[in-house]
Amino acid sequence: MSDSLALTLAGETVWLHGDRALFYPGDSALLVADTHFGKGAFLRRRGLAVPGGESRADLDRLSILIEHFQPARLIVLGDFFHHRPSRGEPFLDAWPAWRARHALLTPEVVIGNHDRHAEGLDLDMIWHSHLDLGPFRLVHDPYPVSGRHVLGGHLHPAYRLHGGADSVRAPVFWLREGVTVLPAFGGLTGGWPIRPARGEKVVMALDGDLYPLP
Amino acid sequence: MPTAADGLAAVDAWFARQGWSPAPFQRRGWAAFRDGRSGLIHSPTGSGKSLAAWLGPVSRALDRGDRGGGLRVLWITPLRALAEDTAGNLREALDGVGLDWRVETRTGDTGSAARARQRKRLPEALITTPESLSLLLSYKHAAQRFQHLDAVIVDEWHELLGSKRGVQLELCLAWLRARRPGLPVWGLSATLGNLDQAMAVLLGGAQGGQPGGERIAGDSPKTLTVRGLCPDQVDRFPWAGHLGLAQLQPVIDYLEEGRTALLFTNTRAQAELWFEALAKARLDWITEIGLHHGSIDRRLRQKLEQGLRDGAFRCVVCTSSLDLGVDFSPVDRVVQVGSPKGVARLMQRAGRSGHRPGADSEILCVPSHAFELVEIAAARRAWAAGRVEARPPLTLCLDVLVQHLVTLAVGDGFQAPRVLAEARATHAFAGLTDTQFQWCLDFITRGGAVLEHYPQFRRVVEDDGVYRVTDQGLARRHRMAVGTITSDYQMRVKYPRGGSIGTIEESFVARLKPGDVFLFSGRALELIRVRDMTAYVRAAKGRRSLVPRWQGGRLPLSTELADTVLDILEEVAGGDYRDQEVQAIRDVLEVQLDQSALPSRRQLLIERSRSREGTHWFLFPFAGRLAHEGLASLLAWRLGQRFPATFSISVNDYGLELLTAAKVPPLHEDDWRALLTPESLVEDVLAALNAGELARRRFRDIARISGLVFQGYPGKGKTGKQLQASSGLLYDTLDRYDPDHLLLDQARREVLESQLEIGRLRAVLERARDQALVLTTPERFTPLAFPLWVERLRNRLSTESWRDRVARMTERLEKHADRRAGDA
Repeated sequence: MSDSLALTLAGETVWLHGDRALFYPGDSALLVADTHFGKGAFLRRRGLAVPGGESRADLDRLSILIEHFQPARLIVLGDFFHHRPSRGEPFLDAWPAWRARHALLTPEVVIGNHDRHAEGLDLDMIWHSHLDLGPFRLVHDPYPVSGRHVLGGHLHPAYRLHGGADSVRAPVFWLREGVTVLPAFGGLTGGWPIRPARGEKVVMALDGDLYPLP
Repeated sequence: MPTAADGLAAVDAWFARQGWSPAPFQRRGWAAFRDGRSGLIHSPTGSGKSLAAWLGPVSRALDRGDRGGGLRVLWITPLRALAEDTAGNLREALDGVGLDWRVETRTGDTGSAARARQRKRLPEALITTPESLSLLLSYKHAAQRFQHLDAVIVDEWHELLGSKRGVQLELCLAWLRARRPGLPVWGLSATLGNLDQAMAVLLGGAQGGQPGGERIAGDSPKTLTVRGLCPDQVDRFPWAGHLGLAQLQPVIDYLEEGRTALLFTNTRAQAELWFEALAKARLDWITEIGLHHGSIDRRLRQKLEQGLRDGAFRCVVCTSSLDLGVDFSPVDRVVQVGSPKGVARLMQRAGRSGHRPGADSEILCVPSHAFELVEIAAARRAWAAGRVEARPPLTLCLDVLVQHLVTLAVGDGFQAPRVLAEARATHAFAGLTDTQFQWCLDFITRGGAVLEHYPQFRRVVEDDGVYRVTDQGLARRHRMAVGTITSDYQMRVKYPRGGSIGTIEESFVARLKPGDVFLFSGRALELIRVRDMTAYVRAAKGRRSLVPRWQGGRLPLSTELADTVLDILEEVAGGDYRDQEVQAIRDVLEVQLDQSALPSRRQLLIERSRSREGTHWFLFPFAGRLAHEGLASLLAWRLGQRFPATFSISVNDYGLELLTAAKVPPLHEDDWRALLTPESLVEDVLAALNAGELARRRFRDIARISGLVFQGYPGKGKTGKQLQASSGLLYDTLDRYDPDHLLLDQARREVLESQLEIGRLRAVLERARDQALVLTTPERFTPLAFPLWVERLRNRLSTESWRDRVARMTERLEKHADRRAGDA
């Protein structure tokens, strides 16, 4: 158990981090998936009394990761937004200051299904349909691609670990043949229970620490 | 002009034509209603309660020459499955006395066309559930619908009392009373230990402003006999276990003598196993046996119930799913497998047989291990002595209040002072403070007490003193959520080509891999895949299968029963074996006495044994498994303050085990006195139990009821998915940003009160203060200790952090993997 773990994927070293991020030193790129910014505000507008603060907390976690890895690029593997942000939303208030704090980075997003809502917003970011990085293909929806190792999100993989009557459920990195699925980064995102097949590996991310499961 | 006697004369005439005569309690019920009074009619079993309530309003309608037009009688039932049967019975009585009223049902099963028609014009008598009644308040002009209401009858009130659905009903009744002052409300209930309280809650508690209610005892029960099935050879009889299948053959013999039997088990898993065993043992009965439990598809269950009525079955294996409802007259045998758990429940089950005139009711109890024979004898004695369990009503469930407020806001809107007065007229919210009420208003209008935390929140809007929901999407989603107080996280079980078999808990399916075989609905099924909250299965052949463990049904042994068991054990210690069931296990009890001692109300038995695993302590307070779980954690934690050691814990209804591999000093009486002190109980329990996580789990229901999360539309797959957030995450989020949130507080309170039975735990410690502590050191596990050792509840000591727990679980997995690798 520790907060980060080095792995070799497609012959390259990458670091998994317990705060649900992946760092690829080859291109000095920090990758997270499914931030779902603005989900709390979206729920509140529809009558669910979720307190605000989660978007800010997610930005703070992202800042800590950036300070830790000092990446040259920050890439979000889709679903940057949960829904189209509306005026007065806490995320939009916090975003300019956060950008100023990391002025050297221009966030890049591989477009996900939720991001269609963001069309036409001027946020000074770079949007990609997909992105190739070293041997990797970066996408939102992680379908295998021949000749490349896919890094994606979309699924929000989670796993329930059992030990007798006890059990713990947490987001996981799901390491499959030719595909690695990142856990959702956003603090208010749910998980989708996965069933790893033989030969696949699962690394649990719980409270900032990583637990590779045998 | 009709005279006041007309209605009752018609009733008498109908009774006479049937060859019946009204029982005195029925006459009392009719007279009390006709005097405009409210009350509670109770009896241990079926026996004419419905008519005692129903014919009051019916006879008065006859008096008045009532031609109908609008709702007169609201009939509340806890189970929608009962609604149709009830409607049939009520109609039969109307035909008999010649009153031309419409009787309709309105439940989650009612089609949308019928519901829309009912919204325009209600029938004279409506049979509905608490949820559906609540929903009626969420439509415009709600008060007009009830302007002719003359009576509310709440069937099986004991089932609702003590649950949040009961609280929901209390609020609806208060709303109705405020619009129809003096509205008579009648409850029908099985026997309870707190009947006066049950009536007071129904009639609006202390401040209801109602005249004192009338408590009417139904006919005293037919002879109810409780008999334990005593094994022939006690030496081969297990000291532990929970299936009771060792007794299969004598049970088959018993069934063979009768015509139609109900065989009750305590869990669905046990029901599946018994059904399978019966089917295997008697292939010739295959078409005459059935399986009935709450997870089996509703249509299959209905078919089965019809078959029971028609006498088409020799035996139906069932769980509490058949505890309620109209009687099946062909049933002449009732069997209870495993511990009866409570006196009232056992008697209710016994009462399901013998509905033929002159027939007595008998229940045959099949113990699954030796000590359960003592429980059976105890149940019989407690019943004879009138010691029956109470059901304490819930109070201050803010989640239910919040839901009710939004319901009213979706309907015609509400004014705060009026709604507060109505809420305080209920038993549940009599103690609601202004601050708590204001918090609820803030919660639905602003998201929470601290406005800045909930930017852009929008749900209920206040305009000129009236609170309303104006957004149609919100209104629709709220109505969708109202029906869900009881629903659980269930997955459908289906064949790929359609064909639904039932529902199963998600947590069980989550442990299965495609290809795994499990026993369900009496069939061996192989899991193909899981998609969209549905488990697709095919029939499996010949492989050993898993049995699902459903969450429900793990009731603790009641205090009334447990204390009677202790009384019997005290007699046994004095050499007195007066019950045949106790006599049957004399050998086992003597071994216990010989190796150690027997507990009683006056002495608490504490055994210490050593094994290769380490040091075991066994305590036998006989307080039920929930209180023992709390006590075990508490003791482990307090022991951990004295010396470094971690403990495994095991509990059952009789006692608890603490096991540690660490070197520990012997504990003397003084040590135990200190460990068992009731002082700082709550603080220590909270520290011991990692209560935060328990509360987090508990929060799931609270979040759903209060509308903090939206579950999506049932059966509609992914619709509404964008609105979903897990209640666990939400708990964490609230805990971080709005720690004073009153619903978090409620979750913690529910953990203490319902999950850990803190009241009972405190009673154990207070009793222990006056008890003699009997410390023994048997060389081997005693008959009382052995079941605990066997059933070593794969429990954890919850003082461990997540970190340690995950580390330990992964370690287990590794060991397991190593072993498999070693085997290969």
